[in-house]
This record gives sequence, C-alpha cells and structure tokens, in this order.
Amino acid sequence: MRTAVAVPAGLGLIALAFGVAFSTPGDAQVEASFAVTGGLGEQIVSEHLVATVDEVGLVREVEVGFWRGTTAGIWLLIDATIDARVERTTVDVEVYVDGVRYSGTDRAGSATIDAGVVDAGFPLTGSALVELPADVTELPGARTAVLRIGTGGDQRLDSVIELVIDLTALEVRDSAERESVRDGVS
Amino acid sequence: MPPLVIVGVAAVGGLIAIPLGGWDTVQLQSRVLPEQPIGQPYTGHRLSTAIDDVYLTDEHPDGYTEPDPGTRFLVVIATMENVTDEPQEPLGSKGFYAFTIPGLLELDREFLISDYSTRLMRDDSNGPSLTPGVPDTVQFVFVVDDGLFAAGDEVRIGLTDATPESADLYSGTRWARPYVAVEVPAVIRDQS
Repeated sequence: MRTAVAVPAGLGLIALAFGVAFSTPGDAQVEASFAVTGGLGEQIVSEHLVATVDEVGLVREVEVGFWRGTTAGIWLLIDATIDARVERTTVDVEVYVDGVRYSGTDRAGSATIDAGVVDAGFPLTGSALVELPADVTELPGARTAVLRIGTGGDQRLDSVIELVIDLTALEVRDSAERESVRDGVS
Repeated sequence: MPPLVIVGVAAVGGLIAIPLGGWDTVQLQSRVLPEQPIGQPYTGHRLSTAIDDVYLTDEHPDGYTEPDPGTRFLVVIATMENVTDEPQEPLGSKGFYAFTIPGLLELDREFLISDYSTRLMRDDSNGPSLTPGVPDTVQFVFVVDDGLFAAGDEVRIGLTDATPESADLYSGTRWARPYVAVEVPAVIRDQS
C-alpha cells in the first residue's frame, strides 16, 4: 500500500518540479516593456508619448526632405504624428520581425520624425524609415512584425507603443517622397 | 627496433635540436592563421566581412578634413553584413573590433574615436550602423603617423570573431573571447 502511494506521489512531484521550472518567467518576461497597442489611424497613448501612425509602406528608394535614401534592403516607411504626453522626450522607432530588431535610420539627419525630441502639446508630423532586409516579406514573422515607438535607450519595464503590421500585405513601391518633419495636429 | 626506442631517439633528437636552433623555423600550428583572399567574406558570429581595398591618402574622403602635419589617412574599404539579430556598429568597440591592423588597431587596445571615422559608401553618411541582413560597403578612415605605413607595404588585416553571450549588466549581447580568425594579406595602394 505504501509503495502504491509512494511511486505515483514521487512521479507527481517530479512532474510538478518540471511544471514549476517551465512556468517560471525568464528575464524576457519579467523585464518586458509595457506595451500599449493599437492600429493604423488610432491615437495611441503611452506613459511618454501620444502617437498616431497613419500609414506604413515598403519602398525601395525614398526621398525625405533633401535626403535620398537608397538601400540594399528595403525601407519600411512610416507616416505618423507624435507628441510627448507629459514632458519633452526623444522618439525612437524600431521594428521587430521574428525576434530580430531593426532600428529607425539616422542617415536622414534631422528630416525624420525620430531624429530629435518632441514636446507635450506640440505634435510633430513626419516620417520614420526602418531599413529591412530585401527578403523581409519572406521571413518567418513577417505577418506579425511589431512596430514599436518608444523613447529609446533601455526600454525594459518601460512604457512603449506597439502596432502589429503584416508586412506581406504591404504594397512594395519603387520610390516615395516625403516632406521633412514638421508641426502637426494630433 | 621496438617502438619505445624509436620514440625515445626522436625525443632526444628533438631536445638536442632546441639549442641548435632546429625548431626556430617551426611555427606552432595553432598560431598559423588561415589566409582570406582580399574581397572574400569571412563570416563570424557578428559580421560577415570582406576587405575590398586599403590605401593611403592625404585627402580625406569627406572632401574637407585636412590631415594634421605628420599624418596621413589610411582608408580601408570593407563589404560587411550584420549577421546578428540587432543593429551593429561596423568597427565595434574596444576588445572586439571587426578587424585588426598590426601596429594600429589591435584587440584589447584602446583606440580613440577621434582617430577614425566610418562612412557608408552608398550615401556618404557618417557613423552608420549595420542593419541585420542588409549588406553594405563601409569606408573606414584612420589617422596614421606618416611613415607608419607606406604604399606597397603588405598589411595583414585580421578579421575577428568572438562568442556571443547574454549580457548581465545591460540588455543585449556581450562578446566573449575575441580573437583573430583569419588574415587578409593586402598591399597598400597610394591614392594621392
């Protein structure tokens, strides 16, 4: 009788140990950013920023202000209006595809919306450019790419804005032109 | 003849050869670095790098920076691709530079940021970062003392690699145990 109970109990405890081990959150979960999500055309408010992403598209070559951007990959062109929620802050745009992080380019100088700072109540309208591999639409995760708008630096446990984008659904254009970042209306 | 005797004779012969200089021209195999032809990429854990050209010049590629007296510019052109899952600086930082240049740029040796600049050949943008999976050609411009290198010199540029480990003190990757993986023998041109 004692053996009949001890063996299943022992196996149960081992199974429980496995359950605890596999269900304990790792650093990625414990330190994850607090994401406020939304869709295109929606005003999304994080702890630091108020952003409306109007349009996204893939282009092979782009002109923003006086800067002409070419790439061996492809540009994700993001049109948005962003301002600070409480106080002046920097803007940082990133895209995650299957765990790979792609940053907004700083090659366009001050022409893009993520090149400088935004103030509360003074929205800026403009574009951000993220350079992606040429075959990005064929990568795993291209249907669920995440566009993240934050304040830069270490974003662990920080508030960020996120939009899920299906890159495979975007039309690929040969070129596009955009104005430099300018005053906007949120 | 018993094998033990053969081994013993060989060992004694090897020992006697030491003072006579018999081993002086023998190089430890572990110290022989594989050669990588110029223009051929070597792929490590951080970057795929091909050294395309090396030249000395007195005219900075930016068109306006003048060399200080007694210095010249050593320009290295490399085609690189970031093979990690996050953006990377082309040269890297102290301890794990993308490549080494004997006498100028070596692993574990401080190198002042004012002594070099990087430019993307595609659009001349300064200080670019490399996007994962997007190859590009990068121009590295080093300020060197006049006389350190001369046109026609062969310089053996080392392409490096290291082991990626999860960083403890910051978010991202730290690079452990960097080493020179292959050497690219390149003859320095003069571009006056």
